[in-house]
Amino acid sequence: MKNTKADERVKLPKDMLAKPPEVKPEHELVLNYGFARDKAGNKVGNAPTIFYNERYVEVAQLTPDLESEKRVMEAIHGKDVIGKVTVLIRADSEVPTGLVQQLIKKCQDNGFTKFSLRATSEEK
Amino acid sequence: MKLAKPSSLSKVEIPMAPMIDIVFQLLIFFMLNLKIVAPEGNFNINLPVSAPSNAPSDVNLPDIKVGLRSDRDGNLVQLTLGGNNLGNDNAAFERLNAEVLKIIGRPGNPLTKDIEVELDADFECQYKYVVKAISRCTGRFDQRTQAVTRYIEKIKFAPPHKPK
Repeated sequence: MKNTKADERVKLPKDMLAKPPEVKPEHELVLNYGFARDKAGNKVGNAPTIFYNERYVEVAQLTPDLESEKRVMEAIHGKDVIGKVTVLIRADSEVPTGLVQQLIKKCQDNGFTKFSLRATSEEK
Repeated sequence: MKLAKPSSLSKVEIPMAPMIDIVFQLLIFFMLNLKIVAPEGNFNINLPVSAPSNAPSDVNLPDIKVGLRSDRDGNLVQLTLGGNNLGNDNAAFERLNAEVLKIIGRPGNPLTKDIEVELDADFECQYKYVVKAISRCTGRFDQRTQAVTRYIEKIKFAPPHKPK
């Protein structure tokens, strides 16, 4: 019922083709990218941020966190695991695409190569 | 010492009323705390680390270039396919879907495995439009049969634009 890595503040785009994958990625890193919101769900500020471990992190400052994720994954699953990790990007529907591309580039610079974009399944 | 005979022991009655009371309270607690989250799905994207090669592919089908032009607020101004303006409303995305089908010929065409869709979006363009464009390139959802017909699997981003 509930994805613990999903952040409710991120309002994902909706699409009918977004069906849950039949095979879950073996290793995944979920990045929530959205806007800080008040209790009513209204945006607080216009700059999107990454919700990472109860912190707000800018894309430019994400490198240390990605490095620590990488270290932990390598320690648990072995040195070559990073090539098998799928980065699941949960970006808010209103985030500028250029910023999502910057986030992807930041992940690529840290060795991640597989990416998936998340959307909510839309029922009609 | 006189022991009581087993037959004379009084029966312990299980109080049903408080038990039902607790069961209902638990039921209400879980109902109020239940959060039904819509299922989420993934769109895989293909992002080569090295620079993309410009070598011509062996297949006859051309790569597809989809453009998303937006204003400063990120609202879609123009959706293009290979330079042709498709509009900026929902119908534009349906036109994109139809045009992609025309290009690939038929769903499941084995040649489509080698085709890539390149998405060229403005920096400010809201992410929801990009996801919609990806969706219309990757396939079609048939509402009658509830089945998904796949068109093109390989999606990549063009190099990012600078902010306006």
